Amino acid sequence: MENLIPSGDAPTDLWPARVDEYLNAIQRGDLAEQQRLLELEPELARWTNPLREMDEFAGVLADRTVSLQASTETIQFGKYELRGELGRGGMGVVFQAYQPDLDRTVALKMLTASTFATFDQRRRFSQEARLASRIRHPHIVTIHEVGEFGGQPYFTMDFISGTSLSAQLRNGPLPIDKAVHFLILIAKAVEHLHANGIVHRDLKPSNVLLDQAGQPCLVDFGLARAVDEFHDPTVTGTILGTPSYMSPEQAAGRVREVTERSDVYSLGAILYEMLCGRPPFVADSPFDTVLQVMEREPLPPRHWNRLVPKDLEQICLRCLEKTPAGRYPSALELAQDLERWSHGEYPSFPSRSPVIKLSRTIRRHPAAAYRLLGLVPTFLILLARCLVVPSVWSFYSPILAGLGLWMGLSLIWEWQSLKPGRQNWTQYAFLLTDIASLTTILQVERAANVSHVTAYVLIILMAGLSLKRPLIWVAGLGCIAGYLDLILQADDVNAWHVPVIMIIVLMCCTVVTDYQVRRLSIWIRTKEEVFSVQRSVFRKS
Amino acid sequence: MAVDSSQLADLLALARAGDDAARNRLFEACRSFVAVVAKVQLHRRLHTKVDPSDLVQQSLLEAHRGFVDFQGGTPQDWLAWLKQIVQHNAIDADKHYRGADRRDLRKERALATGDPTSSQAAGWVAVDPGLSPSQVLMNSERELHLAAAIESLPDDYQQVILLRNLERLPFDQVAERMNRTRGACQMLWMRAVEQLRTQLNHESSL
Repeated sequence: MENLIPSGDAPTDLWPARVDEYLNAIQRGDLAEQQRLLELEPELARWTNPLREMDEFAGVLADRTVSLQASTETIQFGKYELRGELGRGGMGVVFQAYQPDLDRTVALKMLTASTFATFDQRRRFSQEARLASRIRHPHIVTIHEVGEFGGQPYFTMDFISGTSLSAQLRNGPLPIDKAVHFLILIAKAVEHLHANGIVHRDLKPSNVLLDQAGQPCLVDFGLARAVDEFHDPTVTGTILGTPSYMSPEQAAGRVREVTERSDVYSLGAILYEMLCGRPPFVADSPFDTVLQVMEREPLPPRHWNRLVPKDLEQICLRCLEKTPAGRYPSALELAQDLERWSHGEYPSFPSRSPVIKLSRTIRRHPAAAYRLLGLVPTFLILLARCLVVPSVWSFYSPILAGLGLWMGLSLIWEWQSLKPGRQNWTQYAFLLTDIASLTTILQVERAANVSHVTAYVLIILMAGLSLKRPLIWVAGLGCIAGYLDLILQADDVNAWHVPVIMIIVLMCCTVVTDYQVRRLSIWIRTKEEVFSVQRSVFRKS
Repeated sequence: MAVDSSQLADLLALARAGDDAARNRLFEACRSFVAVVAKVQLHRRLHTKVDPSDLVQQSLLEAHRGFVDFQGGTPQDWLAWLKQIVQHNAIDADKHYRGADRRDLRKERALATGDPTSSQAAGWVAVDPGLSPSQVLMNSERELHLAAAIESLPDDYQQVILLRNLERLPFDQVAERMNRTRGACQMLWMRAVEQLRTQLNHESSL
C-alpha cells in the first residue's frame, strides 16, 4: 500500500480530515478555499484530479444537475452563462449566472425535478412562479424570469452575495437591537407578501439572506410550496423540511388552517432564535420536534438569554401562541409593536389570567407538572384527613413524607432536565422515583391487595408515552420488582393466585405497550425516510 | 473492457446500424456505468440493503428491448438514456418498497427516445453545441472509466466512495449509513480514494 501520509509535519490523524476538507471545497466549487488548502498542504495536489473527476461524475449521476469546477469554465444555459455554483439547497442548485443581453449577474435556480414530472405540475409551478415574480420589495429577492430550457425548469432572481441568517446564527444569538431591527424589516416584507395574497409557509433563517450591507432579504416564498409539490406530489400535506419554525397547525398538517398567522408564528420563531441562539423547539428527530411544537410551551427567551427585556419576551411569545387567534393578526402589527418597543413607548401587556399562566407552565414542564397534579391533591386530602382525625396522624405521616419526597424529587429531576443533554437520564430518574415511591407508600399502607396496585399499570403506560422501548422495559420490570417486594412483605399469603395474576397482567401490559411502540416506530421510520430524503434536499436548513 | 477514445462512438454507430456483435460489446462496456447509477439511485432512496443487481438486470433488459427506439446520436446521449432507464426503474422499485401505488400521470414515463431536443432529454449540458466532439467523447469515456474503476473496488470501498463522493454526504451521515464510527469511515475512505486514484492513473497511462 502506498504511503498515504505525507512526510511533512502534518500529524497523521489529521490527514484524512485535510483531504475531506479539500473535497468539501471542491464540492462547493470554492476555488479560493482549494487554493488555500493546497498552499497549506501541497501533498493535496495529487488528489485533485481524482476528487474533481468523481465530483463531476457525481454531477452526472445526480438528477440533472451539473457542477462547475473552474471559474473559466462556463456552461451555456439558454441565454445565460452559468459561472459558478452558489449552493445546493431548497429544491435544487443555485448558480451564479451572467445574462449578456442585460449585462447583469443573477442567481439562477435550477430545479432538480424528478425526470417524469407531468405537464400539470409544470404548469402549476409556472403559475406560482409568475405570481411570485410580481412581488417587488426592497427586502424581498426579486424573481426576474421563470422558464424552461432543454426540459429543465428554472428561474432567476437577484444575485445576493452574502450569507444566510442561519449561517450567521451559527455563531450565536444576535445583539438584541439588531435582532429586533432585522425582524421589523422581515416582518414588513412578509406583510407585503400577505398583501399580495401569498402566504410564505416556509419562513426560516435559511430563507433570509443577508446582503453585502447586512440587510435581510427574503427568498423562496410561494415557490417553496409549488416547488415541493412539483418535486413529489405525494408529499402534499406531509411535513417537509425542518419543523422547528413551523406553526402548530402546519406541523399538524391542518392545511386549511394555515393562514397569514402561521407566518407570524414563524417570524416569532426566527426572533426567538435571533435572541436565544436556538429555535423554540428542536429535538433529535423531526418527529420529536413536531411533537414538541404541538404540545410544549417554549421556554421563555430569558431562560437562554438573561438580557432579553420582559416586554420583548412577551412580544416574542405572543407570536408563538399555539392557537392562531392568540397571535398578532398580521405581520404588520407585529412590526409595529416591535417598533413601538424599540422607541421605548411600549405599553406593558395586560397580565394574563392566572388560569392561562398555569396551563402554560404545565405545558412547559409536563413531566413534573402532571405528577404534581396527581400528587398534590392526594397529599392535601390526606393532610386534611389527618387534621380532622388526629388519631390517624401517625399512620399517615410516613405516607405524607413519602408523597413529599416524591414531589420534591420530581421537581429536582425536572430542574435537571432543563440543562442541555440531561434529558435521557432524567426520564429514567422520574421512572424509578415513581416506582420506588409508589412501592414505599403501598408498603406503609399494607396495600398489597388493594386497588392502588393498579397504579403500577399506570406507570408502565406512562412510560409508553415516551416511545422509548428501553424505558418501557425498565418500567415493566421495575414495577414487577416493586410489586414483588410488596407481596413478599405482606402477611396474608393465602390467596397466592392474586399476586401471580397481577404479575402476569403487569408483564402483558409491558409487552403490549412495547409492541405498540414498535409498530409506531416502524410507521414513523417510513415517514421519516420521506423526511430525510426531503431533508437532504433542504440541506442548508 | 476499457473502451478507448473513438471506440465508444464507433460501437454506438455500428450497433445502431444493426450490428449485433457491436451492440453486445457496447452493453458490456457500459455495464459498470449502469451498476454505479443503480447503486447511487438505491442509496439516494435509502434502500441501502437492496441488492442492486436486480435493478441493473432489469434496466439492461429494457435497454436491449428499447434499443431500436434510441434516437440519440452521441455517446453522451447514450449514457444519458441509460441513466434515465435506471432512474425510472429505481422510482418504480422505490414505490414498490414503500408499498405506494400511485397510478397517476407520472407513469407516462414511456421509454425516452433519447432525442436530444425532446423535453425529456437528460444530460442537456453535454449536448451543448459549445462542446467539441472530442470533448464530448472524452467525457463519456471518462464516465465509463470511472464507473468501471469504482465497480472494481471491494464492496465497502465502493460504498464509502458512493456516499461521500457521489452522494456528497458529510461523514457523519456516511458513518450512520455504514454503521461505523466516523473515524473508521474516514480511514476507509482514504484507502478507497487512494486505490481508485491508482487505478485511474493506471488506466489513463494506457
